[in-house]
Amino acid sequence: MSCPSAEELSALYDGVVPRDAARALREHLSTCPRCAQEFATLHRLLKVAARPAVPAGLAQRARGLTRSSPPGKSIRPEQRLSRQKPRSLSRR
Amino acid sequence: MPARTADRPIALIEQVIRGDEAAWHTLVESYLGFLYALAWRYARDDEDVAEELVLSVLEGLRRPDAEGRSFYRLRRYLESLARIGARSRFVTWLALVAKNLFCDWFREQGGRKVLPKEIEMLDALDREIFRAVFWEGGTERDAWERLRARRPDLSPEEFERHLLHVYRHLSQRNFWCVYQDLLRRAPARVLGDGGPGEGRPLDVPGAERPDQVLERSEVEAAARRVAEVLERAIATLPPVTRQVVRFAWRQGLSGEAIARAMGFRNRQRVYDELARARRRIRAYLRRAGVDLDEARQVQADIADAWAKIPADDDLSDPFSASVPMPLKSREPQGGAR
Ligand SMILES: [Zn+2]
Repeated sequence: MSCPSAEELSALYDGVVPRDAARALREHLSTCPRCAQEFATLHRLLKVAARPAVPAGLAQRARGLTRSSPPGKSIRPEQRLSRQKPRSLSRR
Repeated sequence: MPARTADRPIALIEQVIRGDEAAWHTLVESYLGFLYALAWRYARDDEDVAEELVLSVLEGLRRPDAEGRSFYRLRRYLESLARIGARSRFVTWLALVAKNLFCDWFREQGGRKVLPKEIEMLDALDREIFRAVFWEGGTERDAWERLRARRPDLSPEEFERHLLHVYRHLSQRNFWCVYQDLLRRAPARVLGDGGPGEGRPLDVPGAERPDQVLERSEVEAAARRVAEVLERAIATLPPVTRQVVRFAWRQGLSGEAIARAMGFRNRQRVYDELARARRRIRAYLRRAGVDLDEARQVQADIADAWAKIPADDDLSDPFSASVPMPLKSREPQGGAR
């Protein structure tokens, strides 16, 4: 099988994948270092204990994401968002 | 295993996809702290980087697909129930997607800002290879072609050796996502899956002098021999045990992660399976006349290769003890789960 999607991997992690599909996923993980690593990383991420306080400015900037053309300060992500083309596509 | 699908965020996400901006704000507010905590692990004490990482995730969640359907990632998450017959909790999925978007950010945006510090101390060729692979983009093969045009004397072996050195250097800086790219792009070089002859430890050579190569090839031949016997021994294990063994010794997963992947109730079962495997493998090796010290050395080489991958507990040595491994509790108190 090809490498599982984020949806499949996270469902396997939560133990909600039907039995046969889960077996196939496990089989894949035990032979694919990339996916095994992905799974292990997911596990570590979900055990993040430190919860640093969210900076006040971040919440505000996150809210700014919905405005299509905000009064920009510098090269802030709000502006990047207003670009039509997703940057990941435009670069490749 | 109880199905965990009923999830408060689902209704919210459905609203978001329908274009309800208020629902989006609620979603963002609910998960901002979680995302920031994840980002913090990658940002290495840099608040600005952490913020940019979080924003890149939010942006990534809003992004449309090629057909212009917005929030395509959230759509895929919602649709997974119909598509694959299962849907994880939202936080589980979000953590994985966030990690992938962090990696994109480091590659596409932050790479210029963050990485040069890390590669300053590398030699000139390493730096050039780094630039070709990480900045100019494309596959490693593309990078190799480009470099070769500039440096006709560069051999493929030399390229690969330097490339691995770059990756290793980055991994030592705990640069998870960059290191994971190695695993993503490298062919799966694992013990003996392709049958006889392919059984060899993961090959992560350090920079070595030409006169060391011969010596290394002899060591490798011995290692290959033992690894083959080891592989045969592993093949005789019951399927569940075999899979646990592969996860632990080959993939370097932690006990808890293995329990997750296998659907076991707890880690103890993992350790029990490994103890059983150890007993059987030892007996098999004895019958095959393989020297245990030699086998241990091979295992140490493999463990050394895998040690580049951070793990939360160490299950890498199948010969370490005849008793089940003690349950190490290195988990942080009051974790996110
Ligand atoms: Zn895979």
